[in-house]
Amino acid sequence: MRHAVLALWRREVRVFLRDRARVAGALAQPALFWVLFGFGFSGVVDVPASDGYLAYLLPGIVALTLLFTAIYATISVVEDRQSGVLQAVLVSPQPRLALVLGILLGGVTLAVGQAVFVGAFAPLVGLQPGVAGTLHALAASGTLALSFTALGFAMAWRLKTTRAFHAVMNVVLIPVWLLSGAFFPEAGAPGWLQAVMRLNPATYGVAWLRHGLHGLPEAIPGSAISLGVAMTISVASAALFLAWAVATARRPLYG
Amino acid sequence: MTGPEAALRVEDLGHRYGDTLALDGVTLAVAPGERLALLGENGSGKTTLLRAVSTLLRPDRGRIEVAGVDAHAEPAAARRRLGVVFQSPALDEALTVGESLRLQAALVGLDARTGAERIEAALADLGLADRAADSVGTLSGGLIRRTDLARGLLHRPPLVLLDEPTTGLDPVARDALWDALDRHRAQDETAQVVATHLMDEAERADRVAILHRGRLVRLGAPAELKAEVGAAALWLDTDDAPALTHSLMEADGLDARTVGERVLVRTARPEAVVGALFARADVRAASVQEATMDDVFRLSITEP
Repeated sequence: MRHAVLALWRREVRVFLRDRARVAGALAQPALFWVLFGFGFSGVVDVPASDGYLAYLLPGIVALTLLFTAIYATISVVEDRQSGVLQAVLVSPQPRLALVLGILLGGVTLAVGQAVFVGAFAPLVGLQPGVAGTLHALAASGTLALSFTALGFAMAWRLKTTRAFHAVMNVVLIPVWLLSGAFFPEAGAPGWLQAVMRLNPATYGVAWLRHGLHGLPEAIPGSAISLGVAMTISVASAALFLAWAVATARRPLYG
Repeated sequence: MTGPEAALRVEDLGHRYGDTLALDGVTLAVAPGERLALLGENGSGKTTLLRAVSTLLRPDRGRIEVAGVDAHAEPAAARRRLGVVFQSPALDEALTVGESLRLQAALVGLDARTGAERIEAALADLGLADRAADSVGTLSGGLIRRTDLARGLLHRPPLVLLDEPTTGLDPVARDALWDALDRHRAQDETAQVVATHLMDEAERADRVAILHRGRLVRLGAPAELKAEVGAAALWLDTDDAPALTHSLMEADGLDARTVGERVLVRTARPEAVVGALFARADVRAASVQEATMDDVFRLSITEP
């Protein structure tokens, strides 16, 4: 099973790297979002840290990259189902867990890889994560990416066309990102919105990520969540989404 | 079962999609090394049968055994004994031929050395030896099909399912694919179940199974099935086949039926009725004709 997971993982990464347009888009999109949102909203959004809105937004853009890449990596499930590649994997003697792990690890690799690219801009806006902060940020990135590849997988399994995939994922992704504390701090939001943000599992991953990228401050900027809660809920939701993905893949492909 | 173990054994298979009956009590067995062609219109149950045997669908009732292994009780073991070549090639266009086959080798659990040997042998056998480094997306339809065949057969399973494997191929590429299937069957004694719409492909099978509305309506060697339609078969050309059929059945008491645009009359003594039929104004031509696979198929799906 180890070989099969590795082979499936390698395929996900290889296919991504060979698609130059996808690579270019994956790198350009976060940069563009950062610059446009960062300058566009710097006077509008009230942020607590002294580093300014561009610095506040950077972990949010890392989260955006993670969420989008992680979820969109699982579009391969829909494409594979249409082409028959998925069926070929399912009629192989491998346990379904191998399929799920191969695809999820592929998506996590791509998402974390891009998150590192975006996160590398941190020193430019005065963020000094240091070694410990970088490790926290990486762990948070991996956990967030796992959650969202698993979520994407479970949803992609149920969707028959890439059109449906795009439609569903956009409806899910944008609010999840906007309401995760990535874009504006929960501290400034009205009470009902804060409550919604607390129900969003991405909020905890973003808080953990922010904690790391801001260099392990006492309190997470703009958030009342403690590091312990952020880590616990992040890991727990990744485990839940993973379990959901595995359970989904155990269902027969056809009714 | 006594005697040699069947490559495939399907017993009383039934399945519904909602209110639609897709399979209705299908029972058949395929011997080791045998080639069975699966014929049927769209919606006849062919695809459902293949999905059930390939373990992608859990049928409502019935039992499937792949080389003696219960597919429902031990799906992983059944899958190890099974190769599947789908209607559309299960290959990623961004990978090379070699990478696609190495992925398959990992999926079917071949160790690196056996995998490499099998891949090399398969590439040579299918005339793909100089294509290993080519991207699948750059290959012609025929080469993609052959690569996909190599993929499905890599673990040398005792049973391989092929769902319309020559769809979209030109005649030369189609022949090349069938030659490969013939060679493979001779070498490895692999049983092949081939779903097809093409009668000349069905003729290449040891036996033909015809599905109609989820039921197995014919099962036998092509020659047997054609003999059932019989040399004692009169084919009538007419302008209005249903009307002529009706008239022959009601007024003349003949065993007549509409098959396509013609009328088929089955009789033990064609020479006795052919004169009378020729005299009719609504019969343009009549011939005693050897049945083709096409006749067998049309006849079996027009039965009530």
